[in-house]
Amino acid sequence: MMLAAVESISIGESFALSGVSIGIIMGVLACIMLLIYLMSWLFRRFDEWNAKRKGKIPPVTVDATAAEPVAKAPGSCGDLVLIDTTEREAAMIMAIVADSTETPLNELRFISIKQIKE
Amino acid sequence: MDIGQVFVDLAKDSGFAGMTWQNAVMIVIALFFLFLGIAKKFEPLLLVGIAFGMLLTNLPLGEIYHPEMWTAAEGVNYADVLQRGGLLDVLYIGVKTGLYPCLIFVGVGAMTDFGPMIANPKSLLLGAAAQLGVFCAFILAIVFKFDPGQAASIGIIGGADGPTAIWLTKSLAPELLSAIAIAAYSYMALIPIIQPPLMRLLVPKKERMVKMEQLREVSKREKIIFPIMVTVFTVLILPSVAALLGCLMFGNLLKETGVTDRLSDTAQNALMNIVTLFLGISVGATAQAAAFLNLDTILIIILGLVAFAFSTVGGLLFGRVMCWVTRGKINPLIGAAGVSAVPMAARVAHVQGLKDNPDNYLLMHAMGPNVAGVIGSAVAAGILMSVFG
Repeated sequence: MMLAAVESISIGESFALSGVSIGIIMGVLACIMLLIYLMSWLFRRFDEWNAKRKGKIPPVTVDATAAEPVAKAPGSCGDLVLIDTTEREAAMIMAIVADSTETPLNELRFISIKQIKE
Repeated sequence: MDIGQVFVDLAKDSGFAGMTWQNAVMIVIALFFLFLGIAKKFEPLLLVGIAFGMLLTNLPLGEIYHPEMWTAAEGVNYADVLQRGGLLDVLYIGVKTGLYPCLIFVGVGAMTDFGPMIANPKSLLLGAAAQLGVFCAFILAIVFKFDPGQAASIGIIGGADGPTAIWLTKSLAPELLSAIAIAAYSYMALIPIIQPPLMRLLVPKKERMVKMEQLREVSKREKIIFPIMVTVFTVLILPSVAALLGCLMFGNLLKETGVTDRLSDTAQNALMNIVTLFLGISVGATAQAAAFLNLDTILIIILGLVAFAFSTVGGLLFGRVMCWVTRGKINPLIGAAGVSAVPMAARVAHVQGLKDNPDNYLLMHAMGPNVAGVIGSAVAAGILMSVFG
């Protein structure tokens, strides 16, 4: 519902209206700010709860005959399997590949690095 | 057939016969704005259209725009506009009904990334503080004896948001539409000239050099829920902002869902371009000599500058308060970006920050208050519409 249209206004009233209006704008935007904080907090809690819930689920049984990787290096996007390779050697190889392909390291995805024995 | 008489009649019907000195002055002004848009690149996408509309409407006897159809005391007769109106009368329906500004806001929403603001919600307060100029110019316009609706429309120039200014003015002061639109878009183009001196004047170098922490990554879920949440909350509080803010958030939702890429692409490009084209030329058409060549236009240009300057001052001073409260974690320069004018104002804050500290990259931090300013100016327009509409 619209308020009744104001036909005329004095200078004093214009000051008062401006003060109230700035207060309303600040209030509305402050409420949106609080809603964003609340939303972020809820999502964080939900993710934590979800992670805990997943942690309680018993691990899937793995076929004992399947070959197990020798070592794993934690990465930001999944795990990198290292076979007969040290982390230091793997880091060097990753840096060389990033340099030679001119691709930032965080855009490359390495699945495994294996030393080839002759 | 008297060939001589044919030439005489043609000469009488030509625009030259109907030319007045006011028309000539307006044509020169239109050419000047075309120069600013084309050669100086002052908001060319809008200014070229506005200037060309101004040129067309001031060429005598063209009959493509009839201001009397839009200012009739008994209201607009749209059937009459469609039957007797010229081309620009028909295009102007989109301005008068508020269609164009809202469709532009769909496009603006689809082009806006609210991520930096969601990552740093405090920047919303800077967007609110930077609306100070709207109300300073409003008070000054009242002092200069403008009526309240006109004063509100002049004030909203300080929101530095063209579609919002047009949306409010077409309802409260349609007779000032061309002057306000031109002032708004011209000053938006002049932000790199208006803001830096105020930044250096009001913020000490030590504070201008403050480096801000890197923003956190914002999840897709947050970006999807944000426009829905803001629409519901803000429209419930201020129903008068439903059209503007609703369109802005709808456009943003199209961008963020990830399942409406085609619609988002259309809103950002084809729709935005078509509406910009119609909006510019039809707003320019309202700049006929009788409505434009008067003291009010000069006052509007001056008050528009005051509005921009005070909005910048409001953002900077509140930025300093936040810098003090957070013990130097916020660079006050980003407050100046709260004037909206996306992304120009954010870029200006970034460039000034770089000049004071070459290792300081403020752009993403300034984008927060910058997009908050869009919401802030829409809320300010909604309040003014509620009071004076």
